[in-house]
Amino acid sequence: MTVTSGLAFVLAGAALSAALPGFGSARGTGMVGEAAAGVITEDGSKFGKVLIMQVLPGTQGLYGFLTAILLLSNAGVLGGGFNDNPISFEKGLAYFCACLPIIIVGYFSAIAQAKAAVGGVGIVAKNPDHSGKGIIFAAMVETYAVLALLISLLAIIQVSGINL
Amino acid sequence: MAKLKIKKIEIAAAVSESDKIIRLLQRRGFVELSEPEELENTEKNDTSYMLDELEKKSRVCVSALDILKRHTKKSGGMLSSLSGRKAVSDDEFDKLSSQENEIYAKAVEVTNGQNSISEAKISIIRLKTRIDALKPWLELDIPMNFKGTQKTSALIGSIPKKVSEEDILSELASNAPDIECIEVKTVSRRDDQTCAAVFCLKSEKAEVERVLRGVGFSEISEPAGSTAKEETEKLENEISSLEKGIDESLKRIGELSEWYDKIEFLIDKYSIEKDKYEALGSVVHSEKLLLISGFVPEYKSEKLKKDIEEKFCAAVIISEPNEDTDVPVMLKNNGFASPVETITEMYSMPGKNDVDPTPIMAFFYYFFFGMMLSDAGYGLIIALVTGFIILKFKPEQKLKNTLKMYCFCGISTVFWGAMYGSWFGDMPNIIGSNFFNTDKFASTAIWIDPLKELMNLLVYCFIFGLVHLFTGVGIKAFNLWKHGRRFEAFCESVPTAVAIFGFCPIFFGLFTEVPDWLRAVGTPALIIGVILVILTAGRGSKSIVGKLGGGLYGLYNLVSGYLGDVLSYARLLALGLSTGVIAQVVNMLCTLPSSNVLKIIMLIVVGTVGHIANLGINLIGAYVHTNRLQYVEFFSKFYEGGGRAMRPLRINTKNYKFKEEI
Repeated sequence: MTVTSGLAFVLAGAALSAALPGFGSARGTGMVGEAAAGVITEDGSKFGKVLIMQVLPGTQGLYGFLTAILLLSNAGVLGGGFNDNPISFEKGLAYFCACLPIIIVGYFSAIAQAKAAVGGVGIVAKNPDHSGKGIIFAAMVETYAVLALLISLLAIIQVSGINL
Repeated sequence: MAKLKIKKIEIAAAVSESDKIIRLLQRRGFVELSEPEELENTEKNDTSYMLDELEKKSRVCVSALDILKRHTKKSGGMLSSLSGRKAVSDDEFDKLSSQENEIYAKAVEVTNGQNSISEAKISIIRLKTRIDALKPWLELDIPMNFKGTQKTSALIGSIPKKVSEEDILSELASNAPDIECIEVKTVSRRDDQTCAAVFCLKSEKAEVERVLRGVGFSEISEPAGSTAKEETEKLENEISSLEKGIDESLKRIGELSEWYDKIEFLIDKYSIEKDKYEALGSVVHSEKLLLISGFVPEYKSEKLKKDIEEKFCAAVIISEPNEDTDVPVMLKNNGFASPVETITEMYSMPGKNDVDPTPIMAFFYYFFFGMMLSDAGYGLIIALVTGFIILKFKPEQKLKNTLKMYCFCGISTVFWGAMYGSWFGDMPNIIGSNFFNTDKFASTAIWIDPLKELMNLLVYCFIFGLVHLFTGVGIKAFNLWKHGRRFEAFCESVPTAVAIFGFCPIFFGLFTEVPDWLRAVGTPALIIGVILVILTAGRGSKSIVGKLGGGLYGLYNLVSGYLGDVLSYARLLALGLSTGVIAQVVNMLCTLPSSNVLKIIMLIVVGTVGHIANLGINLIGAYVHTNRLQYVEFFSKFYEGGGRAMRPLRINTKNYKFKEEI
């Protein structure tokens, strides 16, 4: 195994991509879960609706995971390609920077989205006919996680094409 | 299609026929009654008494049904609930209705049976406690309330600690040495209680009592008139007779369970009646004349008018509603579009000047949903499962529409999965390369492999987005055109379209190669478009400066608004990618072991769980984000909403429905 400082940066990028958005999603789904449990104590039939609310802030973790996987496979860590092409310091650092959008936005947008979703749980509790609107409120927040994900993915794929 | 034309309906009829007319309207189920203005010499029916009565009766039936369900463990399970309400013909309905009193009596019997069971159960508990209390006294062979003979007194009671006969005797001896004659018999002894009978001379009773009270002795309260043993037997007999009663009630309830369906029917019947009386309460009548007013969809109105006028002594006027009346909205679409009506409804019903966006949205809805879920294998599962449920169980309209929506979405997902070459991720390649040593399936994409041509696909997503957005703009322009505001229709659409079209080559050039001819056309189009926007966007202002300012502001809005809107369609790519990549990760995990047998086991176990989880998460994601693209990007271009959904007086039941549509 060819361990270079570049490889360390790649792993740091992948680790943080999986960890921070994942942590954000875990906190987020936890927050919504608490609120949802409160609704269920009153009316168990609303389970389906509040469950959707709960999974909404869960996607950021998924995006982080996706970024990590894509990074590891592009850098050759998955599949072992980096043995033949050791990752230079510069390239590793570039990979790391490519992950920053999803690492940062993934974490904070999950929390923000969870707050919107908690409000959505309130809608389910008081006016279940309009719960769809609550979903949309929370989904508005997710846009920015999607954009960050896209930038991270594009950057990773571009970096893998550069010779550094 | 689309938004139904709604007419105002007014019916004048003889009061004596009001019940029948309302019932007819209810059975038709498409007339919404509205509060009529109170005219002179008219009044409203007070139906609250009937409503209360029905409410009470229906509550009895509901609890009877509940009891029967508990006792007979009626099982139908999840699947049977898919098939919806049972259909009855009008004749069957009338026949069952004529049994109303009998069915109600049975429901009352069920609830009474249950009440007597609960009472008996409580009594049994009470009796059992009494038996427990008697247990320490079983050894005592005199009646519990024995007070003594002519000369002697008996004190029967307990001391709250463990003492022996000698202890009590010595206590007596030391505290009241004068007592001549005393007999103490302990009946039972426990750590916390000693039961004893004490006999003494009547004359010395007070003295003995005083000493005994000193050690905590207290006589038993409410003693039975027989020995503990006899009393216990008596109580046990009572319990067994109560138990027999419970068994009988249970048996009776079991027998009554054959009335289950009929009680279900009765609940429906009561809810129909309740709606009817509520409607009756809202119409006005004079001494002889009944006045009903409401709204009716135009295509049904003529037949309704004819039917009512033929059957009853009544006059029906169908008219165009006033400009300022709050006319309700009713949608009607074909089989392809009606499933997404709920999506429109969830946003808002179309307002007065809106067209129904559902038919056009339907196409984009399925299209985008497929792009975001984008795995042919997952799409196949969704389409097959929903299709199977629709064909096999024939569910109710509402559920059927939801299922149909997912079925169409599933089909679209299969299409996009095939386009992207994603069948459960890269499953064909995984199976081919692991078990058959071939890489023929390495790339199964018909059109584009998202991971290889990320940038191109991104541009395609933006193009689809632009088509979506400009369809919205087009609808708005069309609407304005139709209302005679042709200049505005032009200003709202053409300048923006030309400017955006001209900007596209430059914007897309950031991501991918743009053909030269397009660049050549683009620049002049951009210039013309920008000029047009500046000229037209400020048309509302009166002064030249205002017009120019408005124009520049319009240009700024155009740039910032459309940039945001178009970028938003990047989610089509991001979500599509996330499904595919996670599916590939699942596959990769499954093929980590080196032995082929293990790989197969992993593929079956881990693969199934992983793919189901991935499908579930991405299904929600696709649903949410497709909705968002419709609501935020598409609807904002032309749709106002704010309409009120029509709430016709109709048969609103849980368990039965009418077979015939009339």
